[in-house]
Amino acid sequence: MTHNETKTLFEKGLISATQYGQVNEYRSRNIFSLLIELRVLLYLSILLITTGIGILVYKNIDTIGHTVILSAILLASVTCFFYCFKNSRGFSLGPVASANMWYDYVVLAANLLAGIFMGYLQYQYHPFGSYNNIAALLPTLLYFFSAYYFDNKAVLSLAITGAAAFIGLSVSPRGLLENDFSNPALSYSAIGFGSMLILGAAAREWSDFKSHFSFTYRNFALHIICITCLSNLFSDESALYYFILTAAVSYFVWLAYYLGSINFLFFAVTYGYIGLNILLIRIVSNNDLYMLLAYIGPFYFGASVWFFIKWLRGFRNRLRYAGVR
Amino acid sequence: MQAYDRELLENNALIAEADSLQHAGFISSEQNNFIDSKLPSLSTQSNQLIRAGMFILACVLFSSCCGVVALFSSGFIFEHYGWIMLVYSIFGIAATEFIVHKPQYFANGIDDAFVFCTQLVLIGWVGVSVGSKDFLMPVFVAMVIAGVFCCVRYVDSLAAFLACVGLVCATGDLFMQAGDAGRSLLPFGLMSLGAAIYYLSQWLRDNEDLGSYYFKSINVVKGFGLALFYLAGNYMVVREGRVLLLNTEIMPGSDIPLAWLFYAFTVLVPVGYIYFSLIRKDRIMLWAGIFSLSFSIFTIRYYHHIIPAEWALVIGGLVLLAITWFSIHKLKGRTSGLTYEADRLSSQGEILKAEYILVVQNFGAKPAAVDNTGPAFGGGDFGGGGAGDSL
Repeated sequence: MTHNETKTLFEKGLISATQYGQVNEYRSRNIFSLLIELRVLLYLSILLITTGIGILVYKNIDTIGHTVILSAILLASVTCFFYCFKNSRGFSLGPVASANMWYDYVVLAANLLAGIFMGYLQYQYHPFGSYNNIAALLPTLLYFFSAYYFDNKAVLSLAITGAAAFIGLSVSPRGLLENDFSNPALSYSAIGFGSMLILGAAAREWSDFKSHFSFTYRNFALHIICITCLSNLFSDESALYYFILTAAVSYFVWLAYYLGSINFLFFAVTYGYIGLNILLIRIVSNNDLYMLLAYIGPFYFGASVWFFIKWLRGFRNRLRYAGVR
Repeated sequence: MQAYDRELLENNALIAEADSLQHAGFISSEQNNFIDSKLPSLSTQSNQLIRAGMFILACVLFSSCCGVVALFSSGFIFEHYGWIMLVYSIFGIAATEFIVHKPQYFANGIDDAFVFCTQLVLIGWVGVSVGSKDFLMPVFVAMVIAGVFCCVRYVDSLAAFLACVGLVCATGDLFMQAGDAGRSLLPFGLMSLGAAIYYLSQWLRDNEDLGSYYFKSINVVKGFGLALFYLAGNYMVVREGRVLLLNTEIMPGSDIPLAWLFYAFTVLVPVGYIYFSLIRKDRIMLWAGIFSLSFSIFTIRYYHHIIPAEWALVIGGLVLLAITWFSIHKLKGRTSGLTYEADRLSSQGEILKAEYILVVQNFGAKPAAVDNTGPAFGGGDFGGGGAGDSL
């Protein structure tokens, strides 16, 4: 088969001869980018080395001693931080371009090492007694500082995760499903935490203070609030969570239109649809309408499919033609 | 041949090309929109996440339709299971034809799901109507026929994958029927099949008459052929397969026949894949090479513990780091051929934006062990909540 879509576009008069020439010139360079492959191998090698060293240290802890290991981790972290400060382009309210290709990874490594150091210290010597939360809070504060000063979104994610852990919530992609939401206090704090993230993102955009961070904040907020509500809806009949879920989904659908973000639209609608189905199944099972459900099912799901396709097409056209970013 | 209008399919490819040109900065977004509005096209979904969501929803729709049929025929269903499957198959084909022709869905999740479900019920129908004896071969043949038919007619790459699976199962079954001699020759049979599938994909790719919309299906076939060729000759697969199929035990000190040959395959095939992929600039073969190389290292370490695991990890990691570091320095800033710079015409770089998910999953803080916040609350075990809409 022949790949000549660009040529066809040119022949149909949809792109100009200059553009066709530019694309052909670029294609003739025969570019084969190994960016992803080499990054993956880089990650893999770091993972292998750290795992190996971890096992080595674990097996030889009696001969090495905790103090030596702690000092080594601290030294490594401080070295990385020194490198970051030396190469940093200084603080700015807006985004800062990375100093070089390794820089963002060194920032990440410095913070991770500092976090490991703190955790190790608390586990071995208990400087904060049994207040493990306080010990976890210190690295979180450092993460927030680094994220803002070095302008690093990966570290910002770590900071949000740390802050959530401080109130007893696990918000890593898998951890979010493992929280014990049958505990009402945890559910309320999760929803409160999510709302604070939303407010924080809005304030950040309004004041132009690191407004490019707001996607990270809102993304966490969307998943935290919706998953908390849904997991409560599975076991609980209270109207409160329907109300909160409706509010959150409406807000994020509005936001998706406002920002032109297909990501927010997809997740908000998916969570909303799951919530709607839980409500419908409740109604069916409370009124013993199973037969009706079986006969109506095809129409209901068929209508859902038709509706979603229409909606998505409308959204796509709006993105393309209405001049939304 | 294909159910879609050829011109519309080609327009879809043109629109995708224009999107990629805009992404690369060759044309403006206004021009891209103009191209989009000029070309009539099929209803498609380029966002793979949404496509996956629609796939699940459409599978639910298909099964709820089948449920209604089952309700109407509940008295009849247990004696005549084959007939019900036939009804499902006819419904599946009719529904697929409808969504392909009327709303013209193409690769937007809905048509993928209907083609997939139709194939499943077709294969099920063959399996049920053949009876309980010797039903394997007809099922495998049905898989191949249904897969090839659906791949060609509905331009579906998942169908191509199913056809390949059917082909492997059928070949395996043939060799298994041929007694011990056949079973010993199974690795070579499957390796030849893998090579044949790979060359078939190359031949199809070079075929001028074939529309370029089959490109994805052909890539799936190619990746399958490469994976099969490697796995069929891998020492571990051959050895464990032999133990399983021939009911033999391999004593310590002895080895399978032709062990040296399979060791050679295990080492040489990944190296060959990586070498040729870089020469031919073939990304699928490159990934096949990376995965097969990792599996080869695992294979050899599984049978030969030369050094302790932790040292193997550290040394292996250091070697890999050195190679990667060296390659990055060599390839950085190159503007042609092999390079470490992102390709403007490929959206692969988007994946790197998801890096932070890896970081959070691996290093994100977990809540501290609860020893000062009162008793832990029991119960409320909740998992896999994402599947909540599937009744």
